[in-house]
Formats: sequence, structure tokens, C-alpha cells
Amino acid sequence: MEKRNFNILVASIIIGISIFWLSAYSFVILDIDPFHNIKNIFGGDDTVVITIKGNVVEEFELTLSELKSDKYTQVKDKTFHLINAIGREFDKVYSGASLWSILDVENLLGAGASTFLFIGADGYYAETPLSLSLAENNPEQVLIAYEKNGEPIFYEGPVSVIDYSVIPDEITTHFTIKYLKTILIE
Amino acid sequence: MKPNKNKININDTEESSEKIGGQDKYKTTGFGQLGSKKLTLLDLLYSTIIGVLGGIISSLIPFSLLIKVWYPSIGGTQLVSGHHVIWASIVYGLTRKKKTILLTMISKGLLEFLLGDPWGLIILLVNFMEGVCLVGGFLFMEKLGEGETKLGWGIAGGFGNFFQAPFFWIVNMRWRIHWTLWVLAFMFAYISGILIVGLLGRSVKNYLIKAGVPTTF
Repeated sequence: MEKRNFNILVASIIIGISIFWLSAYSFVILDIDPFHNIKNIFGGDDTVVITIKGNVVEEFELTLSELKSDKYTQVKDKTFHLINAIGREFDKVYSGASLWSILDVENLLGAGASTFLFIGADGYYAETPLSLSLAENNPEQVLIAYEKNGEPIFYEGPVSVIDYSVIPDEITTHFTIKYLKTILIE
Repeated sequence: MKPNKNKININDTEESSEKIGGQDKYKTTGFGQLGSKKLTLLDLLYSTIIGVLGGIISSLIPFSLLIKVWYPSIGGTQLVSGHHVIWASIVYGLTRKKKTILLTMISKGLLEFLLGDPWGLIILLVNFMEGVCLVGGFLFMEKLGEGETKLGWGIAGGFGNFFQAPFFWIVNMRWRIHWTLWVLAFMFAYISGILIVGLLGRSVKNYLIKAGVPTTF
């Protein structure tokens, strides 16, 4: 084998091994389920999609059908004003369940619980934990969405979404978490 | 009738569609300019038409779906990000002029901007910078004597596709994300550049020339 080809082969093997171990390490340390998206696509409405944990009375699992049920306050086709990292503002229409109504109806909050943090299944999470009072005072503006622009959010959902009016000093898109998997209460 | 001095016989160049004596060989198709660096009308047409095509495809087709199903981490979609830059490498293959890389990327960026990209005018800058990096990659590979090899195109393509990943991650202030995901995203961007921009781009270019698309070098 030519030396040049040998070098290409060695470089490819090193890169391949690095990717494998870095991926495995990130899956373990960030608790990423490698089959999450496949389950999301092929799982029915009764598959658990969100877990609420942390400072809660009891860890609570939520399926998509429960999320859509009338047990919680449902918000239909509400326009959310969002702003991204470069200051560009735009509107998106979402439908979903109010976060506060879930916490309230299920009586989940533990003593002294004051913040919530959205965590995605892909290792991405919201920029900072937010005060629970924001969700309480703006129940229809802090949403766990399962529809966008009138269409079901197919494989990226559910998605957390917060209107600009609730957090005017923040980049709202940093709180729009796709593949929402965990809501951490602290 | 005088022979057209501006025409070159591409059979005489090292490019070709068939391997003959270890050298690639193409049939005569071109609007050759005997190595002139001036842009021809055909160069401009290639750059704009393919740039516009790239802009439409980049904006409207969610290639990320190809990855998200089987690779769940954020940054995994960088594995297909090379499709944003392949257009420039195809045009470069047909024209062998580095200016056309920049023209193609600017056309593509303009289309993405006009189609309402969430990044606004910044998308134009990103496309331009990707073009600059691709030009830098090809120049670097030429210096190493790999300007027309698969290795050379692969590495140049990797350079071309690399810029956008750290740029978007930094602009998006993703500092809180675990370092492994940063490293993986950048590795995927480079690999996508090698495979899609470099190798696939070179192969598409070769098939286009084989099919009789006029070259301008």
C-alpha cells in the first residue's frame, strides 16, 4: 500500500474511533437515549414523552395523550412572539398544554420549589432555569406544545415555548426546546 | 478557417472522465480560455443558476431528517450540512476559477435571505465565508500538489464546510452545551465537507463533464 493511502486509512480509523467514543461518552453523561427519535416516530400517543422531576412530590411521567387531554389547560393556535440570538423577531403559532396547569393539577411542586428548566432529549437545554412565578402568572404563554402552525409536531416534539412578553430580557429561542424530555424543578 | 485559439482540447489536460495511463481524460466540450482568469458569460451563468438552485434546496428541503432519525444528539445534523456548499465545488469543477466559488455562494446566500432565512442578512455573510474557506482549501491543496485529487477535493471541501458550524454555535451562545457535543458537531461538519462538498462534488462534476456540460477552463 502506498504511504499516502496508508496515512489516509490511519487518519480515517482515528477519526472513526474518536467519534464512536465521544458519542458513547456524551450519550452516557448526558443521559441521551440513542433511540429516542425512533421511539418518537413509531411510538403511539401512550408513549411517555416528558418526565417532570427534581424538587417534586413524586416524579411524574406524561404521555402525549395525557398532554393533549382536557385535564390540563389547552391553548389552541396561539401566536408566540419570539426573538433569536441575533435579535430577529418572528411569530409562530403553537397549540399545547399550559405548563402551570400540569404542575397545578397534578400538585407536583415540592416545598420551596422556585424554578423550572427545560431539557431536550438531544443534549440541548434551556439557557437558564426560570422562575415558576412566570409560569404561574402567564399560564398560556409558557406552553408544552404539540402542534405548530396547525400541524402536529411530528418528530421534534413536544416543544417548550415561551412568549417574548414573559421573558423580554432573554433570547426566547433559547427556551424553545425541541425533543423536550425532562422538566427539572428546583 | 482559423482554429479558435480560445478553445483548448481538454484531452490535453490532466482532467478526464476515463482513466488513461493513470490520467483522467475528458472529451472536448469547453469554452476554454487558455488559462485566462477572466470570467466568461458561462461562468457567470453557472454561478448564478447553480447558486439559485442551491439556495432553494438549502432553504426548503429538510435534509436534517436523514440524520435525526438515527442520531439523536444536537449537532448530528452537521453530517449533512455539506449540501449547502456542494454547489460551489461543482461550479468550481466546471470553471476552475475560484471567483466562481464566491459568486455561487453569494447567489445562494441571496436566495436564502430572500426566502426568509431566520438569520436574515447574516446568512449571506455565512455563505460568503464558506466560499472563502473553500477557496482557501483549494489553494492550500494546490500548494501541496493535491489540487485535482480526491484527497485534495475532500480536504478543501472540509475547509469549505467547517466555518458555519463554530460560527452558528458561537452566535447562538451554546456555551452551556457539553464539550463533547461541540467537538462532535465540528468533526461532523468537517467530515460532511469531505464527503459531500469534496468527494460527491468532484464526482458530480465528473459526471456533468462526461455528459457533455461545457467547461470553461
